[in-house]
Amino acid sequence: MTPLLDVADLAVHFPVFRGPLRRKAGTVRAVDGVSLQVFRGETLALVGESGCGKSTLARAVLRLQEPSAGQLRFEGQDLLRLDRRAMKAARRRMRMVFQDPHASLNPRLRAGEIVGEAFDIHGCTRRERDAGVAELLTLVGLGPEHAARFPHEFSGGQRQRIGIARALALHPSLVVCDEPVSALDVSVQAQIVNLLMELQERLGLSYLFISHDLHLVEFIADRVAVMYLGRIVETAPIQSLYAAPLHPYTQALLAASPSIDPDRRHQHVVPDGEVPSPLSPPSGCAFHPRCPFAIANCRAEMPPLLTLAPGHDVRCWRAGEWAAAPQRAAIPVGS
Amino acid sequence: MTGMLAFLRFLLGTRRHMALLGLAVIAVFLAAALLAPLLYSWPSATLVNLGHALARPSLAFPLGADEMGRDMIARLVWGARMSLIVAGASVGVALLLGLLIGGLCGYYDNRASFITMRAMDAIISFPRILVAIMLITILGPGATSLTLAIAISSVPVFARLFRGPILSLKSRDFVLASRSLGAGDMRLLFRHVMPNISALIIVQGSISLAEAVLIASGLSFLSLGPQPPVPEWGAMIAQSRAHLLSTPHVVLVPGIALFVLVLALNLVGDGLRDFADPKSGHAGPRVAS
Repeated sequence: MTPLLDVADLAVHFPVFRGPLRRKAGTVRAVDGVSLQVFRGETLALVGESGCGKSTLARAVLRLQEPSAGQLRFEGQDLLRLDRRAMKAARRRMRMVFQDPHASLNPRLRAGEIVGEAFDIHGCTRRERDAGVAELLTLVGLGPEHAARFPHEFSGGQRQRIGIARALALHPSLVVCDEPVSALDVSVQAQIVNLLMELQERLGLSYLFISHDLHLVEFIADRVAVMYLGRIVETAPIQSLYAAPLHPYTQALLAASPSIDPDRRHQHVVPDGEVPSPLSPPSGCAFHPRCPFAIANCRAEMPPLLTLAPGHDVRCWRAGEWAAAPQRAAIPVGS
Repeated sequence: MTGMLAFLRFLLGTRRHMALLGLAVIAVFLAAALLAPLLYSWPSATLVNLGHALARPSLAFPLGADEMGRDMIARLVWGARMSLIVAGASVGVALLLGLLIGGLCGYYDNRASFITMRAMDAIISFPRILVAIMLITILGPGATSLTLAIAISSVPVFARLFRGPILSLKSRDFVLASRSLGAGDMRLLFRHVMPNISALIIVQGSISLAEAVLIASGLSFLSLGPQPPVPEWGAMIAQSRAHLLSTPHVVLVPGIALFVLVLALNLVGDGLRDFADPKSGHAGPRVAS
């Protein structure tokens, strides 16, 4: 089965300029050779700490940020080779839901104009637009009567519903959700997550779901990709990732995520130190300065992405050891 | 129109009496300027009649007559028309060019916009009146070149002022959202970015009007504006200044009119600024003490 979205070795590098003459002082490798696939109807969650490049990757996937290198195939088309017109057509099929529902809605436009903008851009008639707006607003749990209101007249949850309605205009197949609930109250988060899952079922959507909330991801995703400093360190189906995380960074993330289930409390293996600067990433495996299991090879050479089980890829030199002993009690206590 | 009503309600509600007064004054000047051809014929404001030279205010000449025997009130009203047209047109042109340059330089943050903005800085570093005088020297004196000179000398100020907010607005999520739907640059700039600085445009425009009236009169005083016998306040002051001590009204009438109009425009501009941004320094409901 060919994936809906196929990202191969994608990189986004930002040059950094310093000094009065704005000389190039270095390069931030926000996304550095990422490969992932999203299949039809599934949810791929992308998790990682803030600053690891999740949002940049999301923007690059939609070509809102021009990638520096790599390939991007969506519905069989090579997105990076499309001209303006073809790219505009492709934008009918791929959309984004933003993190902050206050910043992502133009305060000067009415809800109907915001949701209906896709219809205007892609040359629909006024009648088509109005009908589409009414349908979309109903779909996300609002009503056609809300079309005439301005964003400031809505609550945070309602605003995010408007953002989702905007994203669903003209039947896209892929929706990139960039932390769609992290700016909302906990009680509203559940409603929005349920809405997203319900819409996925009804409309056959595929989600690239970016989050830092592992409990949310466990609830919504089919597969998970863990990102660290611009690279994917582990990709796995949801059950195998939570049952047997193989990369030390994934283990640390899971351990750091508080659980209310006493049987699932992990031993805390919070990595020492800060996330290194993507301006000068560490040699070899970027995680080695913080990894309690680092060996000499980790400093010297970047580990390849190894497939240790069907659909379970890990970028770690010692992944074989972890896979062989999944019930690892070997976490050095106190490290 | 609803915006105008909301502004009035704001001024009344927060007891901004000075701004209300300014608004009333501007309304009077505007009415006079619009109705000038109906009130006083063009010849009555321009034809020399030495029999009435320097006549004191009377029933026939409510504000007296100037040294050429022309009715002062007729010249004042036609002068108001000239001042408001020159000021309005120059601010309009300057806003348009300023928005275009500031908008493009903010939206496309590249080397060309860097060079353009440095050029704007270079123009700003000269006094505005000097820039205007230079332009009029090239274009030749007259109402049109006066308007253009004032407009062009204020473009850099507008361009700098508008570039900042546009630069920050273009990276906001709602602009990105629109781009992700397939919107082109022009749609983003004119539907998403520009409307969000409309308050800034209105406020800056109203304050610039006062400045434009003042500069227009100043340049006319130096006989760089419309040429005699066209009535213009600054030119009127210049022509009559020899008679300041013997018959002061010939100088005081246009001088006071100029003062009142500029003050009124400034007061309304301040009111608009508070209306647009209630958090700015001078705001807060003013309580009569």
